Amino acid sequence: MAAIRTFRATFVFAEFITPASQDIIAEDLSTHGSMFIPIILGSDKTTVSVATGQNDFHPLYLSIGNVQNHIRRAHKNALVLIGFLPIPKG
Amino acid sequence: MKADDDWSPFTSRAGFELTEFVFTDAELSQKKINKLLELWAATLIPHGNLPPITNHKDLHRQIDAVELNNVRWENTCLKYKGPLPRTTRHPEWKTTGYDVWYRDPHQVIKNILASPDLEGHVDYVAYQEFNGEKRQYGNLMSGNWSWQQSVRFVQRLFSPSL
Repeated sequence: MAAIRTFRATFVFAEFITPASQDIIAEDLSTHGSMFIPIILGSDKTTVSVATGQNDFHPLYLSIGNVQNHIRRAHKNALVLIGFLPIPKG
Repeated sequence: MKADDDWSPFTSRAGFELTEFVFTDAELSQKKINKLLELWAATLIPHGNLPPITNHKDLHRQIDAVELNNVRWENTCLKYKGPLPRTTRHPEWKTTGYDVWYRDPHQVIKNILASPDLEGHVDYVAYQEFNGEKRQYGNLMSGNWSWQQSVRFVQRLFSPSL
């Protein structure tokens, strides 16, 4: 539906922030036994013109923190385009 | 995993390869695809047979039906519903409807986890890595945040009853 340029994801995560206990998933007993899947979302400044014409969109990408870094950067199935966010005109 | 001879949603291997050829390799126009398939059908009809694809619409339908790593695109229209200024001219975006295209993230994540290509490169649980005494940080699941989010220590008292 649209031409998307090659997208290379890099992300930075902070090691020094200790979350408050109400923000820790493991404190919620109903999550026990489930897999922990951190969701990584990204967008960029590239706008894409979709076939219908008029509008520009920001592409929105999704990956998950379980995929190892070298694979996320190299493999197309690890980083998936999940949305086109319209850019309103002023 | 699919069986080696399962070419669905394409009717056959020839149907799949034809689709790949006209759509991906040759990038034929819809008009040319129709022309080719009409000629093809003309040679087969006397034998009571039909080509694997009828026309360009049929071709697109078969491509859209591919399930592997494919999550349907959905679309919704967003529009500002708040108050509008009475006196001044309001900005255009306050009255314009915007198309948002998206795919179900839950299904996308399931597909990532199910992807055979990623086998061996997925961390299913948080872990801590050490080089001797020194903690090593690498992937997201090796970090403190992932560890804190998914590990909960329960303190139990050792109380032997006599």
